[in-house]
Amino acid sequence: MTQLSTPEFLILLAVWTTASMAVFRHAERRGDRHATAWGVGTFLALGIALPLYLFHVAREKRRARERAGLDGDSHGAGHQ
Amino acid sequence: MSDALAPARPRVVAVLAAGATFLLLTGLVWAGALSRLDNFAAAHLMPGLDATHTSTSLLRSILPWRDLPSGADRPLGLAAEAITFPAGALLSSLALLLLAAVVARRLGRRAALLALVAFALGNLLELLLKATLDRPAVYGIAHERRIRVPPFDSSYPSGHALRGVFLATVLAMLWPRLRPLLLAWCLLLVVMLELGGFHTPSDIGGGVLLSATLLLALGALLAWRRGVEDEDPAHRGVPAGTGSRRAAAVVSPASGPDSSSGWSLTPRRRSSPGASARSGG
Repeated sequence: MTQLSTPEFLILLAVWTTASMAVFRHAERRGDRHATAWGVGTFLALGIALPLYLFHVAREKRRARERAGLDGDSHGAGHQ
Repeated sequence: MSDALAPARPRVVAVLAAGATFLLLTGLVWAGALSRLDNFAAAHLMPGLDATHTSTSLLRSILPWRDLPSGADRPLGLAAEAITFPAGALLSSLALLLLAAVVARRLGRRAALLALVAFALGNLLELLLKATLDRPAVYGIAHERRIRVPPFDSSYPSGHALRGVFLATVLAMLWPRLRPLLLAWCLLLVVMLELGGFHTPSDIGGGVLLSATLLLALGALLAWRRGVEDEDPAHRGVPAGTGSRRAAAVVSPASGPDSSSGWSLTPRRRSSPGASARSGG
């Protein structure tokens, strides 16, 4: 296993922290109730939590689009 | 009365859960069930640990920069001291006193006083546990030899973790825009307490859990007060942001766009349309 030097480790830690901050901020802006959990999760397990979060966001967006589509259909039916 | 308690019930459950987890962890540490984890961390995850250092002087705790490691570990030592320094007893207590003034202005004097009492209680419990709880010996590695680290015998729970999480939460409640930075600081604090050789993982877990228990209890207490005031006809019709009604703008569970991390200072909307949102600032 490769041994990291101290500066390399500190840079990696900064990247890790920035990623968790970005995920937390994004989740918070979306109004996600578990923003802190996503942020902490990204910090603890970037490789697992980040893809999971992206999948979660994509799924939520798809659901929102579907709901918007359904609402649009019902409004259209109401007008007829 | 049961109606007054209703809004606080999930919070009471959360307080009990956090408190029970803290007690469980304390029991495990006392029984030595986490010795393997702590020993592994002391031997492999603490490049900043000076295992030959047998005691921590008062001067070093006030001026940690005096005793930084030299050579390759110096940047890590510097980073560890810089990140953990604000969570030290002196600085964090001063910061909380200042924050209490802001809390008093926004939420009322009772909320500020309760926050100070919770912080003091946390520090008292930390000192009490450190004085009474002796865990089995923890061994680090110095000069390629396994060596006992006496300061870890009575280092449970971590006061830095306790104060850091408490301070960050109060700051996050007062200034929600700082939340990403405060989350990052908390994460780095936990990591640096470990890497810098200040605390074992069980110490840090204990500090975080104790802090969480106190903060949840504080939120539950304020929510309960709000419930009582809502029930009390004497408080009805008093606009938010004035007098005891300011306590209505307590830390509330996630319900709005600025409360996604579980805490908010935004007052709850009431049936009275005239209720102002001044105290949410």
